[in-house]
Amino acid sequence: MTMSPRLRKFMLAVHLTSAVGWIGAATTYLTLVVVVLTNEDARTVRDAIGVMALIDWYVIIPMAIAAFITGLVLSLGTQWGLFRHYWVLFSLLLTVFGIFVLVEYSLTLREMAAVAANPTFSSSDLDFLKDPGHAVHNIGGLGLLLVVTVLNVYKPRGLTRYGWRKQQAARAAPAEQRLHGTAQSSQFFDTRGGSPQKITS
Amino acid sequence: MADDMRRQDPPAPDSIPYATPLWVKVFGTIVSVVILLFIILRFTVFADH
Repeated sequence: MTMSPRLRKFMLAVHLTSAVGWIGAATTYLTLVVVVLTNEDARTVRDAIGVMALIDWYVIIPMAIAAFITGLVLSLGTQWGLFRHYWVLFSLLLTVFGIFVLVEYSLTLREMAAVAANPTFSSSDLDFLKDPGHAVHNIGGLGLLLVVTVLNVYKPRGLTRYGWRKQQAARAAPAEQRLHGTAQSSQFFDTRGGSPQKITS
Repeated sequence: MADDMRRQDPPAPDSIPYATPLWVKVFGTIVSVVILLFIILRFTVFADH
């Protein structure tokens, strides 16, 4: 199923907005992670954890899910397909892995936010909040997003075995038609560079 | 005429062997190692977190 150009542009706008929002929120989050890991003032750390939990649940996770869904729609609704090109497949796998780790980390962060908001806060609780895992997850997530961005911008060539079979079938079909005199033109899908173009010769 | 048209046809689907691009092999190996390493560390060293 191929989307209309107008719908494709709209989905692309939503996809870019959510993906850029995800990266932006993750970068902002890094500032708070630095505050938590370098600060010894309990009040500051507790407040920062509270803000981190809010950003995580109400910005990062919704943006990640929106980017994932719109990415799925864009690939399935265009001739790129979901399993035809390696760069699309890698983007999908990395995004799914990233969201899985993000949700798992968010559950821990929720517990931390509850501890931070607890009036009976102790020094051992402060150690619990100053977990280096914040930095590992945040920097790892930003690295993953950077890799997916590079894949999406450069779109390195490379068809999967499934995509290759599809392309071969698409090339063979017009030849069959020509041979039997049922069509005057042949159509090929040129997958070099940008989006696949239907070439009529 | 039919013979001429046959000569111009693209190769049959099975005649061109499929080859996985080099960047896919390299990148796929790196991604697999990183994900496996994460899973192993997550459920061993950092199991309590």
